Amino acid sequence: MRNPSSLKQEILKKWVMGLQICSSSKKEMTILERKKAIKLSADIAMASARNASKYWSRALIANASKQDENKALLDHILGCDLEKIKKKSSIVSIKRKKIVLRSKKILKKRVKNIGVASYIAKRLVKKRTQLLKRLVPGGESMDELSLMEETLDYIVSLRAQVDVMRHLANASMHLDHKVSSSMDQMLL
Amino acid sequence: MEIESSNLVNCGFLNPLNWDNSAMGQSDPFESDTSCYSTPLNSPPKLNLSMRMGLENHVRGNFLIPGNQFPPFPADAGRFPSLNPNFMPEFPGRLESVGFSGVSSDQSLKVVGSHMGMQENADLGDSREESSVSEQIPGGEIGIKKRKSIPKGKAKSPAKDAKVPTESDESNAVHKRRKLDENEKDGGKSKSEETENGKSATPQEPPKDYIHVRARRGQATDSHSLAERVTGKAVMLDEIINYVQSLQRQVEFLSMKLATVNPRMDFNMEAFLSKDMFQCRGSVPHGIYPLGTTSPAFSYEYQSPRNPTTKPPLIHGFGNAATASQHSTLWEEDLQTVVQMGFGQNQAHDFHGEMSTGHMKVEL
Repeated sequence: MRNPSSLKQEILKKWVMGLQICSSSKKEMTILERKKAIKLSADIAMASARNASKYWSRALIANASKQDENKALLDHILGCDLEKIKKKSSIVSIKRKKIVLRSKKILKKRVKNIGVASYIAKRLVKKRTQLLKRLVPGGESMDELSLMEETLDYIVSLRAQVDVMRHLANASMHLDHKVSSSMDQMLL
Repeated sequence: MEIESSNLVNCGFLNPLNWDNSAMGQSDPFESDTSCYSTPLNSPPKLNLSMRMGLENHVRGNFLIPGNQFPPFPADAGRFPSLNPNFMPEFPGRLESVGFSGVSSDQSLKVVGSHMGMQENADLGDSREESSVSEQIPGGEIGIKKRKSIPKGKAKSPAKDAKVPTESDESNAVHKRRKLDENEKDGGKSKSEETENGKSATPQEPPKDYIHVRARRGQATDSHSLAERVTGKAVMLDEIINYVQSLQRQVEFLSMKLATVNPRMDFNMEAFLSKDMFQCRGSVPHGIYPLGTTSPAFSYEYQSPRNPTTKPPLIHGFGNAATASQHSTLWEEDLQTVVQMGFGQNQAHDFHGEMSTGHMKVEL
């Protein structure tokens, strides 16, 4: 199991890097823009912390790179890995699909005489898998098996990201508090 | 105690009222088992069930029937101190797995009253369950009740073909892996009835408030079992979806929060750094004044090759060569502290003045 704190550290480092870049590029930003930039930096940091070993991270980065404005940010955080990531993403998905198609054939042989209830239940499952595919970045083009793997990894990374963000937010808030309180004191 | 045991023998089941009146007030009404109380001698299977349940409850030190409530009562726990720590984890897991033999439970009842007897009882109950578990296994049919945790544990290989063989393999392990909250949700009696019927070909459809997955060893194509398994999978997927959604929402919220808190988006790491250094060292390192937005400095530094030791570039931003070494050693530490702690634990008030002056520089 990966060390969770090291993951968090990496996310934090890259995120702060990204934030610095964002703040240096634009001087005036609306709050929504800021939030978007923050979230983007955080997402990219989270994805790059995985070093593109997971499909979702590659998809996340690919999505981000589609927008030109993010390119500088991506370049800084990822360095030269961006190209490698794009190449990797295309190859792996094909291999996975082959495996899954084979396993599905095996499954079909086994399953016979399914009742009506299971049809309904299957539809439920399918609906939910579709939802999940939409949630996980890059999930649309994933098969069920790898979708679950990716989801697992994605959840772990998301948790780390949330933790890092929460700590930074708390830290900022405390700093703000202290500053404002100390300023009040000085003014008094 | 002897009176109680004789009562038990007469009534044929454990009556918590005899044991501890206070417990009754706190426990849930035993609707499902009222019939047990009323007709103790008429229906031996039920009787045995409640006895067994009561036994196990006793073993848990809770004095509750049936086996689904177990808020620990400290007063009662004191009565059977030897039992509580030992048997709490095991019994709930075994509770539903079993049919039961009437004879051994009768015998065990007589011993229930005494402290010593409880120990034996627990052992008896234990062995009874084990034996009945093993009875079921050679039968070739296993009623497996899977919790959400178990399908989650298999989330890595949820494909149906993978599930089919592994379920039978893990049947034994599953028996022991069941968690406590399973008891909370189940109507204990209905569950036990299902375990009774577990061997039958078409078990009744369980109530939908918990996941109930059954598989027979080597045979996974029964429509009912398939449907149940698929339903279980749907519920598990639902959980996962909810979790992912909540995490994503949290990210949105936190990024919004950060955007409001920090209007200029200059996340001065050196400010955090110095804060941490104050914390770590407990003294005020001189010469550490967070400069203004050092983002220009940072962006300049990023052109240098990225390596984990970005310490030298950062140190330039401080403009104080004397403390350069201190910064470098503390960078990793500080990152850790920033990441791991909430700043609420900050107690270094001594740097208050320093920080404020530093920030005064920043704000102006």
